[in-house]
Amino acid sequence: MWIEEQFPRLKPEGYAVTSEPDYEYNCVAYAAGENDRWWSHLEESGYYWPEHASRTPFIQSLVEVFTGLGYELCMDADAESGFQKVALHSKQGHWTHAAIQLPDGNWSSKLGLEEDICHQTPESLTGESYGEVHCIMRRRRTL
Amino acid sequence: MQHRTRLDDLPPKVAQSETTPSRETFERLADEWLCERPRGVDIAQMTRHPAYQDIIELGEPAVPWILQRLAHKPDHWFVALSTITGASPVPPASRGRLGEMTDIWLEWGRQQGYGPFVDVD
Repeated sequence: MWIEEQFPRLKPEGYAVTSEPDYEYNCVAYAAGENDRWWSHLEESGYYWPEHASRTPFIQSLVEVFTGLGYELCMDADAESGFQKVALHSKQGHWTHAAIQLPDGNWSSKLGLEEDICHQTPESLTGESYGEVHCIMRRRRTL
Repeated sequence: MQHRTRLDDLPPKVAQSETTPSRETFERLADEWLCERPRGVDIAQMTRHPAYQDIIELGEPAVPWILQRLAHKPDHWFVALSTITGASPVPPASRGRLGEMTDIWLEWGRQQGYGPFVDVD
């Protein structure tokens, strides 16, 4: 299966496909709570990018996106009662991916144009495609 | 002294820009990108694929062919269109919504005289 070839840590660590492929949204939108548009700093081409964030491919711009949504940097990816966490991935200084933590402590990701998956840790997606986990951010859950 | 430049004397990329790209070249590159682009990655990584970059290198002659592809099957051709043309026709309210982006870029193409776009297999 392509997912296991692209992200070789997934199979040994455990994952589940949780949706059909969907062209309508990407990982950043999904982690931000939307599933009907693409968020990308390539705004001149017609993609959405929040005004509060700088429009660059660098990971700092993605940090600014989630800072503007109320997130702050935190120490680890452990589940914390009352907090929502996101993990931001980067490769060679460029942002590549955002994942969001589920209430049970597992993580959920939209994989480009493809499926949503549930995975155990943000590190499950590290490797050639997404690079490394750059940081974990958190904000208080709203009721 | 008279200096004359022959295409054979120029570096490959300059020489390429002096020739008119063929539709066949575009179609081959487009198919290559669709088949070989990495899966599961975001638009910036997808469009760094060499075939996509080669399509951008084709320049303005490729614009109607790209729009034809977009009309036939919507996909992420928007970076190529905006990079080649410098246009940015999608208003803030429609940004990121692929169906609306597609319609707006196609309408932009018609207004620029690139249409009509026939949906054929």
